[in-house]
Amino acid sequence: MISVQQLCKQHGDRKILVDVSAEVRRGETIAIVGPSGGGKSTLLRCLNYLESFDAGKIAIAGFELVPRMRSNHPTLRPLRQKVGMVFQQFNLFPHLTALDNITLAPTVVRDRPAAEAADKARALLAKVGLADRAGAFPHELSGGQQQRVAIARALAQEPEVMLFDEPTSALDPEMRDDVLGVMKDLAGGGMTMLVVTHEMHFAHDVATRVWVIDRGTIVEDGEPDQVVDHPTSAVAREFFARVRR
Amino acid sequence: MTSSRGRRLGVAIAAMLAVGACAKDEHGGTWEQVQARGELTWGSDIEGGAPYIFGDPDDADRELGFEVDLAEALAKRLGVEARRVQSGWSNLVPSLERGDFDIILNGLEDTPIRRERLRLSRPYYVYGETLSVREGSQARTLEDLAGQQVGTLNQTVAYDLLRASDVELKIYESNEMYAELANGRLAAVLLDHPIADRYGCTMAGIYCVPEDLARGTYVVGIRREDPELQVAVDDALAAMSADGELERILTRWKLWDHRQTEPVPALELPAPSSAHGFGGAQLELFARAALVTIQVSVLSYLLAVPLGLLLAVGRVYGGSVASAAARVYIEVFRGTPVLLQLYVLYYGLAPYYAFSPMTAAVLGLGLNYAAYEAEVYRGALLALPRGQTEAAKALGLGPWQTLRHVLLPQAFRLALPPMTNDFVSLLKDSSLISVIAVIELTKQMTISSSDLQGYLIPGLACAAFYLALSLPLSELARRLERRLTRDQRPAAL
Repeated sequence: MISVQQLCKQHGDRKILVDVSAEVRRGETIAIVGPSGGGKSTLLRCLNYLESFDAGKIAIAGFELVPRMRSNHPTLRPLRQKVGMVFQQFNLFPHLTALDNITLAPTVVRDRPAAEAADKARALLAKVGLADRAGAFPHELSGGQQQRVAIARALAQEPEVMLFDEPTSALDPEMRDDVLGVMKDLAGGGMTMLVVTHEMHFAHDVATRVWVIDRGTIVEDGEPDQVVDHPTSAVAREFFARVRR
Repeated sequence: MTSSRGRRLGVAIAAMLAVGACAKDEHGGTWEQVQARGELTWGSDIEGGAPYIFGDPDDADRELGFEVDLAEALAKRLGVEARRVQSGWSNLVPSLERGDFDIILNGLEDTPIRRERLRLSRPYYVYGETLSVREGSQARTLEDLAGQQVGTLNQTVAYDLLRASDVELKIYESNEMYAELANGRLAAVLLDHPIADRYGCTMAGIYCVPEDLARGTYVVGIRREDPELQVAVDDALAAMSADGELERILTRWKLWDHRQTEPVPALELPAPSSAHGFGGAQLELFARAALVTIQVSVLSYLLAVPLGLLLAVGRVYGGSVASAAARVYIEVFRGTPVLLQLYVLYYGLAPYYAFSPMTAAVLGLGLNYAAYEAEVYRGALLALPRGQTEAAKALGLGPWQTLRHVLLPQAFRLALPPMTNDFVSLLKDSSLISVIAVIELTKQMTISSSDLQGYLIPGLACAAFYLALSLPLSELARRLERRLTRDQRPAAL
């Protein structure tokens, strides 16, 4: 489903990603963990080309990404319909209701009839436990509710891959479980997911694989039991010791 | 502001008030004061140009003209120095009454209304009203021009004559109306012969009817409460006439002609229709002018908004060429006065393309305000979080879809208060279009104030009309804003 080959990215002299290579199979859930500033989010954002890169290449959902593509490159819009993304700050459209947030892309980008898109959106809202909030504006929703609407919004494009960029970091602890529950259901349903996260329980219990990223490289890549419980690298050992405390 | 600066400002204001008060008190005996000061101040408008008064092209500090020579000769006879005081021509009478200068000497025509309001000296010049038409035109009288557009200056005898006739009257601020006649936007111009001879009759394509439509005299204007000064001025003018000095001055300026020696026929002026009292007729004129104001404002705003949007999007998201072009547009239109832009658009482009006054007004104000709108929208677009664009892109929306469905609706909410501001400002700036001979509210106010001989009532009426236009609009914008920004209530401080 995803193949990353020798990906490199730098800002001036600072190297953000150094020769990253990885494979993801259909239906896998990858938890991406590691110290702040290690390049986790950047790697994730390269996968739908919200960020460009300087060398290497990516194959994802049948599309090929190469260095320095123009922002209006014809590959990118179909790619992004196949690769959904959920942001730390939700980024719901504040002028639209929950329902309209979800129906916007299907109606505008894929020309779905409004009624069909609305039915689908209601089903998605029910799936994320917000069937009764279709008419609410984002500011009328709690953070956890907003993030669940954002997940439904991404799912409405029927993606093959979902990217989560620290989806619970901006939430109060009691709201995180609602969002994590939705993500767990999604993973259980066979969605291919990459999740940048600090939630060790999620990494341990839900993910099929864990990547530890530090200084632009994947320093560990393996089963959660192995990586989280028995890390081999000094960096990973130190990181898990710190987050457990 | 520091306290010492504040105090100094206070002193300055007190001093200004004191000077103002003195000027009022001095009304009693201007002639005595002129003698005591050794100086006669005469009010006039240099914009009238040659042969009356104009700047010396070779010396920026010197002024020339037959009225400059006349004022100097007059002052010399009175044993004092002459000093010119600049004042807009249409405000000469109220300025004299305020005490800004001692006399008016500037092509002031002898009329019954002025005679009622001021003291008028004996005449120093006989003018004829010259009708200028396009070459080939058969029109020789105002009757021939019924229903056609004829231009003149406000507050002149020509204006009164035209208003009493069946022509469509167009009021101009200065002599550009001959160009308007030549380029076909006017059917005729009626003005005093010294102006017509110099600016109109020499122009290609213009024919001046040789017979004067009327004759009248230029006189010196003096405040009602200054009979002594009137006697002094009359005596001096009589002496200048008797010993030939007046003729010598006028001859030097090629103004001495047969009119000066022929008997002056009585000027038959129609009584101004609304000379006294602010009644229904005036109200109707104001309502008509208000309609023009709102029409021009709305239409030019409808031009400014989409154009401004285009410029803002070009500046924020366009490539280097689009962005630079938008920036040049904004800097040029924002950095030069809208008045200048109106002149260029209407008069400057006239030889190539003659816009109608309304088109030029809407275009001029619309193009100018687009520059301001562009900056408002640019600010609003920049204020939106990056995450909004990223979320739209991540869903597969293209650039235009992102703008149309995500960014612009949000930017509009942010832009609404400054947009309301701009529209109210545009409503008032629309008064500038009087320079291209469109009568809107402010112009109607100045016309009415000369008819009614006072600024207060027409001024208040004008203000009431402006507020009647802008207040409902502000209220509408306030409601719209409240509806759109449910989630953006400010926190209490």
